[in-house]
Amino acid sequence: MTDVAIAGSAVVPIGLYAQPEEDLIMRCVVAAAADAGVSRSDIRGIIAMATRPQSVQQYQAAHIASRLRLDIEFLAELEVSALGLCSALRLAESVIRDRDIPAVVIVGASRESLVPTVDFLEHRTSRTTDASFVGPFGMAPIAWCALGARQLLASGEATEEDFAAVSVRLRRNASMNPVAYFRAPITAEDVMASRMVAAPLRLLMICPRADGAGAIMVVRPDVAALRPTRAAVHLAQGLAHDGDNVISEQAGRSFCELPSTRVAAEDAFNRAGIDYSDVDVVEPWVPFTPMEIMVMRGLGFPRDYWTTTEVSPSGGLVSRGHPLLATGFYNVHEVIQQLRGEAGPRQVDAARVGLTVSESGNFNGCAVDVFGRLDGRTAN
Amino acid sequence: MRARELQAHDRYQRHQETWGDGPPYFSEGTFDFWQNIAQGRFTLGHCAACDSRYFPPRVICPSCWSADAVDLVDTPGVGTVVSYTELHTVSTALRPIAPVVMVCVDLAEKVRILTWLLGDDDRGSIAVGSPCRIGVEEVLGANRFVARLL
Repeated sequence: MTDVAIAGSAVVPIGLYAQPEEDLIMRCVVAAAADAGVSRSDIRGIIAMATRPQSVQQYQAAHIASRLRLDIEFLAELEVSALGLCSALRLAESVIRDRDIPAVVIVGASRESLVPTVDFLEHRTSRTTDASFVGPFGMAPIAWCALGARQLLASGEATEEDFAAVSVRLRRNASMNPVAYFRAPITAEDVMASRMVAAPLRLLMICPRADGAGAIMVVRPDVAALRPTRAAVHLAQGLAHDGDNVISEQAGRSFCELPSTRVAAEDAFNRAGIDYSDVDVVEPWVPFTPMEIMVMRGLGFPRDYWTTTEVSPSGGLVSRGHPLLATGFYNVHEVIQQLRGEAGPRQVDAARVGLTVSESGNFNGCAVDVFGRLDGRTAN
Repeated sequence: MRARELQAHDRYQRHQETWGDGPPYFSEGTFDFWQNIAQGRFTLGHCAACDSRYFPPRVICPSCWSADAVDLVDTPGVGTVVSYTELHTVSTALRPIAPVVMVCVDLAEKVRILTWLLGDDDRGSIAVGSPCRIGVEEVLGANRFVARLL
C-alpha cells in the first residue's frame, strides 16, 4: 500500500509547564521529524492549532516556522476546536498531494494551567454556548456532561458505580503511560469518596486541566514507504453533526444518546471498509467518565464495550490529562504507538486498526478517524 | 437597512441602560424579550408568518426563515424537567448562589429552556420528569427566567 501517511509523532509529558508553548512545540517538531526520519528541508508546510487566548505568542505557525528556519511554502492556523486536528490531518494530506511536497508538520499546544478554572468558566465556557440564554446559567462542558449522566442514571442505563469503574480503568491504563499526568492507581471507593463537582460527577471522574504539546509529521507516499512498519495511514474520516450548539433548542432531544457518534462511526466504517469487530483500540475525546459510556454505546459498540475493545489505553483525558488544544495529538500519538507495537506494558495484542473519536460541543459534532499500518499488518 | 440599523442603535442603548454590558447581550431579535423579562414577563418567540413557537427569539424564524416576524407571546410556562445537575464549582459571578441547580425543561409548547431551579425544598425532591413552571424572579440583583417545581 502506498499513500500519504503519518510517519512521525511526538508529545511532551502532560504536566504544568513554565516553558511557553513555543518551546514545547519546537521540541515536538524536532522529535517528530526524527521519529519520521525526515529532514528540515523535507518539511514544506506547517499547520498550527490556533493559539489559546491566554497564550502570549499568537500566529504560532509563522512563529515556529521562523524559529526553526523551516523552508515552507504552505502555512495555516486552524481555529480552536476538538475537531481542529481532524481537519488539519485532511488539510495536510490534501496539501501534500496537491503540491507534491515531502512533509507537512501539524503542531499544537495548550497551557491550561495559566487560567484558573473559575476564570475559565467565567470568560470562556459561558460564551461558547448561547452567550445570553445558556452560558450565564453556568453552562460548561462539565455541566452538559452532568445533564447527560443524570439521564443515564434516571433511565437505568448506568449507575454511579459504572462511572467509577471507568475512572479506575483509565487510571490503571495511565499508570503504564509515561506521558500521563495522573499515574497513581485509584479504587472505586476513592472515586465515590471524592467531592461532588457537578452532580453526579465527582472529582475523580473529571479530567485535569493541564499543559501539553504535540507534533505530527504527515508525509508523501514515497517518504512513508521508507518506513512501512512505522508509518500509519489515515484510512478514513467519518463526520456527522446533529445541528445543535451544545444544548438543543428542540424539546424531546436526549442529552445522553449522542446521535452524531453513530452516524460518524458508520460513515467512517463504510469509507474504511471495516466493521466494529475490526477495531482493536479506541482513543476517544471524553473529558468525563460518564461520557465514555455515552460515546462508546453511541458509536454502536456493545453495552459492555470494555470487554471486547481496548478504550483509552493511554489513560484518556481523565487520567492522562487534558491540555485542550493538544489533546488530539495525544490521542493520535497513542494510536500510532499501538499500531507500531511500541506501547510498552499497555500494548494491545495484534493491534491492526485504531480509532480516534473527537467532538465539538456536547458531541453535537463527531469525527471518527480510522488508522492502520502502512503495510496493512498487525503490530507485534 | 439604514432605518433598521438606526432603530437597532437606539435599542442597543436602551438595552445597555437596562442590562449594562451583559449578559444578556443585545440582539434585535431578543431586545423585546429582555425588556419583558425586566418587567417580570416571560414570553416565547412566535412567528407571525408561519405560527411556529420557538426559543430563544431571533430575527429569522427557524421554521420558515421569515425575517423580523418575531411576535412574542405569553406562555403558562408549564413543562417537565428533562435533566438537572447541581453545580458546586462555578464562576465568580455565581458564587453567591452556589451550589446552583441547573435544569433543562421542555415546555408544553415543545420548546426547551435551560435555567436555574429555585427553592431550597425542591433540591431534594427534583427528578427527571418532575413537573415545573418557568417564571420571572429576581436573582443576583436582576430579573431572570427561572424554574420552580409544581
